[in-house]
Amino acid sequence: MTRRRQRWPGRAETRLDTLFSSNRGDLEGMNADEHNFQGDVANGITPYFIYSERPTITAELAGDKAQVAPILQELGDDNARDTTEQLCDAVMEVARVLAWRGRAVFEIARDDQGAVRLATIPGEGLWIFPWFCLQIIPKRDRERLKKRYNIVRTNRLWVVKVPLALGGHWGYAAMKRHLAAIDHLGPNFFRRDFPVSLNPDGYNFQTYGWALDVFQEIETRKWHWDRRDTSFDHTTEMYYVYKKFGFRAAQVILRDHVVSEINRLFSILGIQASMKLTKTPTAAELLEAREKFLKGQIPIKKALAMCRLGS
Amino acid sequence: MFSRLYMKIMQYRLFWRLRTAWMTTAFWAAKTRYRLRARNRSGFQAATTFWAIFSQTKSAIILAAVVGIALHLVGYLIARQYPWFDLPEQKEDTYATLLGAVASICGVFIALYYTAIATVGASIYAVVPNDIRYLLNRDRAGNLYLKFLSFLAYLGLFLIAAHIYGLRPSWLALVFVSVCSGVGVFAFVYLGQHAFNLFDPTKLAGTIFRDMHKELEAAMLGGYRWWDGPFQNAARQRMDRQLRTLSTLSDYVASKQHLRTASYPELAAGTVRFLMYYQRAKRAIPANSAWYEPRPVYRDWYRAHYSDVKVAVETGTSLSHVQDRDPLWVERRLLPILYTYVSCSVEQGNLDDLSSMGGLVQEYLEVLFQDGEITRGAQVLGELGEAVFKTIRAVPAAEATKLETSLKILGVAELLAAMPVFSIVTYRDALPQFQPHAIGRKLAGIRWNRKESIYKAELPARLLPEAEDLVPKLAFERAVYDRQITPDWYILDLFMAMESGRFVENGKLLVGDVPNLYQTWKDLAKSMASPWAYMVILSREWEYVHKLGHFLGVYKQAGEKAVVARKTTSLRWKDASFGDLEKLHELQWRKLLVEMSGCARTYASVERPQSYPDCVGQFMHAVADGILAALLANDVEMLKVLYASYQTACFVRYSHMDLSKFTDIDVMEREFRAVGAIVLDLFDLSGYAKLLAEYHKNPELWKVVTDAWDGYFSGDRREVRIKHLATLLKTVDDQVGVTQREILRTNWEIAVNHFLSKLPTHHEPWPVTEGSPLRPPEEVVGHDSAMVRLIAKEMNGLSIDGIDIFAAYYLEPLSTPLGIEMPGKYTDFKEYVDNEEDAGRRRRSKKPEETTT
Repeated sequence: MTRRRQRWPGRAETRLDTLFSSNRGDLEGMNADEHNFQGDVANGITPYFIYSERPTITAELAGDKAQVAPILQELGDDNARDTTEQLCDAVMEVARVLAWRGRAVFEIARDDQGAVRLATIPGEGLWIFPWFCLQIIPKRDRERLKKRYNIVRTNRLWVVKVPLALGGHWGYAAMKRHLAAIDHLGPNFFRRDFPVSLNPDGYNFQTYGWALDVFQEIETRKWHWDRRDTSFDHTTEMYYVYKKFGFRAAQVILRDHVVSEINRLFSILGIQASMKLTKTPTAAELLEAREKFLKGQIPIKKALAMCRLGS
Repeated sequence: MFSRLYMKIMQYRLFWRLRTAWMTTAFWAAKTRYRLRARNRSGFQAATTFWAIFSQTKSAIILAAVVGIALHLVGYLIARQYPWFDLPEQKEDTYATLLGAVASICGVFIALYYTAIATVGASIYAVVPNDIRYLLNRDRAGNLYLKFLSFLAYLGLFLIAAHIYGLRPSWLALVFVSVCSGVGVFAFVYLGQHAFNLFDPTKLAGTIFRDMHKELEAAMLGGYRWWDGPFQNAARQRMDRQLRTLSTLSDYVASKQHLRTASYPELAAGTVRFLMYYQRAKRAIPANSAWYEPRPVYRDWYRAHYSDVKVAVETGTSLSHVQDRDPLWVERRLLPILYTYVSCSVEQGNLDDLSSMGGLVQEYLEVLFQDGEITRGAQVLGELGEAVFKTIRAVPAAEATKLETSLKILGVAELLAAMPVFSIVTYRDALPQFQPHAIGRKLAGIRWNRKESIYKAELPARLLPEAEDLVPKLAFERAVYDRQITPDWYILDLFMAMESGRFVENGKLLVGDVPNLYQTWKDLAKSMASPWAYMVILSREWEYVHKLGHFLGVYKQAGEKAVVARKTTSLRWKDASFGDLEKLHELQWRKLLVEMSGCARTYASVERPQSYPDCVGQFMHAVADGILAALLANDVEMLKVLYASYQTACFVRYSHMDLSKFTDIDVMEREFRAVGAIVLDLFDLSGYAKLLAEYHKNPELWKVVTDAWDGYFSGDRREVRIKHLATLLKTVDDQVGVTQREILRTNWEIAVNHFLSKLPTHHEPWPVTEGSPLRPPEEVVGHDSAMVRLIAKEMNGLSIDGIDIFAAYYLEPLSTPLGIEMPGKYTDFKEYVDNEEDAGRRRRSKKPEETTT
């Protein structure tokens, strides 16, 4: 790596290292199911303003817009047109980091002009204690960075974790680990043998496939992830929509959690402001709609529209 | 936690090896158990070596020894209590002699029976296919008898040996051996007669059917490892062998004229009975069972499960095919046996046998229609018709025109043509079974966590794949969420969506394809020398189309109810186009009427033997009703086609009246009135043509009728014909009481009056003049025609029917110049109409405010 620490034009500098060489290989050999899952968690958690007509979702701000806007721009997209778009972009970005790592850690820095800068800190080797945070530099980067660790005070960090309702940080990490451990093509010996030989060990793909689907569903039960499976080989249409509702509700829980964490960030930064997203279904409303759907009171077409990404 | 552990274990090769080993062991154990059971059942079949014979006979030897000892013991115990049972000591030698004689006789009987079998085998079975010869070995009665004789012979020998050893003679053994000897001797007589039956191989078909039932039951719910693929496959292979034998037997018998005896119908009847049983039995066989013949089906790349696609992509292979099953493989093998039999029977003219077989086939069709399997039913009907007509058409023309042969052909044609009629009624009655409430009731009885439960629910076999598909899906839900997510109403909708496709298809088949079958049969019958078969089929087709009209009402009602009961629209629902079906039915109705009118005109002059049905008379009745319907509907085109033919048929029929053969004047008069009624019907309809032409303001309707009559009265015989018909009218009009068929014509009158009663009416005050009495307002019918107003207003008072109108407006003007005095009521009627015309004119000339509505 040529850059050791993140710098902004205004010469702000983080005390923790933001990029290790090991991060580059994150996608190599990654389990497809794990990859799909973490992609789905953040996708459409808030509307895509650039692709769709403006949805009804609205950000309500209690506080000074001028103070809030630079923070949101720092987290999200600089080109956002209004506060709603800024907040939605910020939520989506934070959710992406969360989905990837189960915990999003940002170091709060200030540039020469005193503007707040937020740098994403990799989770690898990061130990957060009540008063300080210890970052152990991976061995392969120690020579390059010429140090073994970094220590900063915890009040320089803004940490967002997966809410407990969705398994918490450790639960989420364990779930990802479990997903990554199993390949849906088959066990290692089968993947190795299958292209070149017959099947002398009695491996049964149907049995394995069914058990794997059950395993993945149980692992992601708190999220109600649908495994991107639309084949209905093991499920009915009703079950599929049931999962969609559940997953959408989980996303809403995560979204509201991130918004509340952004409000906490404002408070850390001494900004007297509070935001919330309205005119979009809450998790409770989605779960209620799911029950109605199961009773046949909501047609499938409408139910799917309610579960659509970014609605 | 369990799923995680299970997945971890699955990653190891050892798990899969152990699993395979376990499955192989379990299968081997099950197979061994099954073989043992089968061996116990089949007895001596595997006795090929001495050791094998010994091992097979040891159970019989032990049984005989056990019986012998038991007899001695029980006899001894009884004799201790009741000494008078015991044998006298001086009879001990006789005891051994008797037992020896019994054993010898048994040996002789065995030898004789085998000799008889060998004789039969040498004379008949030496030249038959192997499959049939094998039947001789499987003759159950003979095998059982021989087992009994061998047992008895050995028991005798055993008792002698015991006696030599020192045991005292047992009175009970003596009684037992005596009774058994009696059975053996008398049974020999019976089996001796039975041996003659062996000359007819079809007598042995019972063995095949018994074995077929046995194989079928092995594949059904409750059979030994009925859910296990290899066992299902084994049952299919055994069944395949039985079907091959049956088919060979049928072909053999069909090819030998002398073997087509009374047992051949039994063979065919057994086949149909098995088919009926099988249709119901399929409800208890898994749809993907290896019992059904396999058919490979290749999957769509874009619809397959992603895991399968990924395996194929990663390994550079194509998607593996899945095994589809042919649910009709048994039917495909059995039905040709029936068709062959039908052809042979028609060829031989065995109408009685064929009639009883027709009843059975009808029962089978009803079973199919009750199950909603119209496609299958129509297919069977088509193939059956093909077999029948292929044979009928082969009958030489000279033979076919003979009364006896013609009657047989007629009987067969009617039998065939009546089948769709009964079938549609059966399906109509069965429609409630396919309604959501009925299917829902069956589904409510299913426990989805137990697969066998779906085979106990009495679901039609075609719905089983849906149920089987659902079982693992619901199991998946339970595995993930510990409960069933998919609601019951959705499951019902899934089944109903599938059933909706069948419902629509059935409607199309009954309205489209089955009438096409009639057309095919009619075309085949038309090419024959005698027209009667054609007319009989046409007659039954009319009945079918008539029933179809009623069926469509019930069908539409059922379809609408099913639509109301739907809760989701996302499934692949299919909706019947009731309007299209009704239009198609109406087209068929019109086409048939035209065909019947043509048939009536063509064949009205053909002399009909009393044993033939009066199809022409039936067609004329139907056409007359059709003419009235065309008049009411203002359908000039239809009227043009029907009326001319009907008029011709009426006069042809009327002209065939031969009163000279009656000597009794009363009989002659009755006959005259009966035949005259044909012409009165024509007058009646013609009169209504005048009335309804005025009603519809369409003179074309009346013109069609007058043109036809003008044509009839043209030429040299005009005067004679007018006089003849005027006289006929007068004669019938002078009759006291109800004339012939007047009640039937009254129905037409009621239909016309009902039609006119829909005209709007209003009340108008009578014109007030000095001295005139006060009267309630007059009821006025809202129509421009005076005749229509008059008849519509006074429909119960004037008693004017079509005959009167026709006589007044057509016949009377022709008769009066010829000096024929017609009854005064016709002139009176015209006056009434004229008066009404004047009254109408007066009303129209009045100012609007004077009229009260």
